[in-house]
Amino acid sequence: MGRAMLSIKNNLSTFWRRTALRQALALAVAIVAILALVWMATYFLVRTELRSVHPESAEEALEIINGAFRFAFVAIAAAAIAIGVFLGGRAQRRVNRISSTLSKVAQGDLAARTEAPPGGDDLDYVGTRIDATLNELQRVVLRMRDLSANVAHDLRTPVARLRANLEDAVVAVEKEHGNSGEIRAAIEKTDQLAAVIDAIMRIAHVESGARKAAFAPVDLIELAQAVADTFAPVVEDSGRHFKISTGNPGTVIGDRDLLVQLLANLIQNAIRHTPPDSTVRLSVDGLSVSVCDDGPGVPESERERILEPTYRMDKSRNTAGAGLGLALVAAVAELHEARLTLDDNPAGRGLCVRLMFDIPGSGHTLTG
Amino acid sequence: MHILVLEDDAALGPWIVKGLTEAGHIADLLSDGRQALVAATTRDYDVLILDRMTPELDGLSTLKAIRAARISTPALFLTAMAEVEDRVEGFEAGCDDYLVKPFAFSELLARVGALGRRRGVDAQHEETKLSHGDLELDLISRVCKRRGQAIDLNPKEFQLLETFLRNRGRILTRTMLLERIWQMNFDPTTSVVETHISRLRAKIEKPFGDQLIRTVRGAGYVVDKE
Repeated sequence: MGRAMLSIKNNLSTFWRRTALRQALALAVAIVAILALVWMATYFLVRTELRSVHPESAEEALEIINGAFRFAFVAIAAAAIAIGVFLGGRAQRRVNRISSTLSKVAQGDLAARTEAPPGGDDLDYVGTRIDATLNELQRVVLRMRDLSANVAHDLRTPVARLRANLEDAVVAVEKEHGNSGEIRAAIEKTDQLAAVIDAIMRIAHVESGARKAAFAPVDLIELAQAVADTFAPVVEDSGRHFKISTGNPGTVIGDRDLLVQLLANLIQNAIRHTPPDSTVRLSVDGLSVSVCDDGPGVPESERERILEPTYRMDKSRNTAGAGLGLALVAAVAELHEARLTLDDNPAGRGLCVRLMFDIPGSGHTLTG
Repeated sequence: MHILVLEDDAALGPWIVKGLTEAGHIADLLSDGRQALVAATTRDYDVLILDRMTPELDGLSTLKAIRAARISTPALFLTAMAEVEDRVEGFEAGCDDYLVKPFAFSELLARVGALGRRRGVDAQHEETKLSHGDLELDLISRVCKRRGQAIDLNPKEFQLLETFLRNRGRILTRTMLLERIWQMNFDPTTSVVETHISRLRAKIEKPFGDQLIRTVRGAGYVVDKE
């Protein structure tokens, strides 16, 4: 009973948020009200004016008036409401088309258009303006893709040439039975440089939102299980313990590959910043995913900053790209409109990085 | 093998050709897409190595045109464009493998080697059992046996072993394995491949006191042909 009332209330409130329908209905109601007023005015005028002069014809006239107005009232009220709903519904469908186009664009589908005909009314005008803006946006995004391809080319090609030269140098030195250790170390540094370029390019790409176009449902428990299958042995071989705990099922609309990379980065981070014999725990419950460790943790004052791209708390650890791992985590979280928090491990000491997908009103999550 | 190389970089192009030649292949170097399209449609190559950003006709359009001409020569994109969309575009255009610059030459060589023999191996997909010496892999019941003794492998270990046995004699690099077994197009920087291979070895090699999977220094892993 309560549920039915609630549903009616919800439907009513969504109905009242539809401008075109509401206005058309209001107009219909106004027409009906005016008609009722005219009816009443005519009735009272005839009654007061005619009755004193000619009582019999007054009664007859009133009957005629009532009969005529009764018929007209019903007919016009029905027609006004029907025409109102029809016109309002038509306008509403056009408004809905505009709003669905915009939400498609927000989801990353830059090819969506309202397809409003030019030279129509003001609603068509809004539609054509939006289409023109989207054409421009799509053009800019495509140019940006060209630009980022050029940046990728300009960054990676010189590194590729350098690596080629170093590989040749190794061969040359070894042919002379020399020691190629230094050159091999240089090759390793080149690969680290390439990894940093990869990380920066990927963060920029994730932040551009382009990957939203390929969003699909991701089962979080299945995701965590797959990540655990891959990384549990890595954590264990590093002398630490790995635990996975799963609670309620949950599904999000997202990019599975990026979510795998996010969890991989968090686990890698946990390995890097905890002493041997620590425990790394991956937990999923509903729309919350977390990676916790029982290492030294991160002081509260530093937590906000470690998500920034250039930050590296432990300057002595010069692992390439390490400072970018968490920045990618932050970018992927933002792409999914998920809330990323760093807390003390509730089990005692250590850090807990938690990802919450159910931001109210984001509308991009499903509960399973 | 006869290999076509489309690469407009004046340093990398000749370097790739030199390396391929030293490895015993014959390589033709072309620096614009239009020439490459003509060459690929008129001569018989075993493998195509294509850069994506090339003058006249970009590599992607070149490969699309080659495929439109019903030429199915295995093709590998060698490019600076590394995002997932770029890869998807590449595979949709009809490439068989995708390698991002910068790269180790051994990586390119391993991938070219795997592609070159791809034409003849399609019949293998019909197989329901793979065997190597005294090792047997039943692909239907997912059972692995060595000297008649069942070995308990988890799904990834099974897939790893299956991939090695299907590619006997070919080097599989770390990134090839990451892409094929774990569908990872990024470097997890942790030792995922090394760890899983060492666990696999502990199950299929250690109890039997010999070696099946050979580590090739600076390149990858291989199960040699018998």
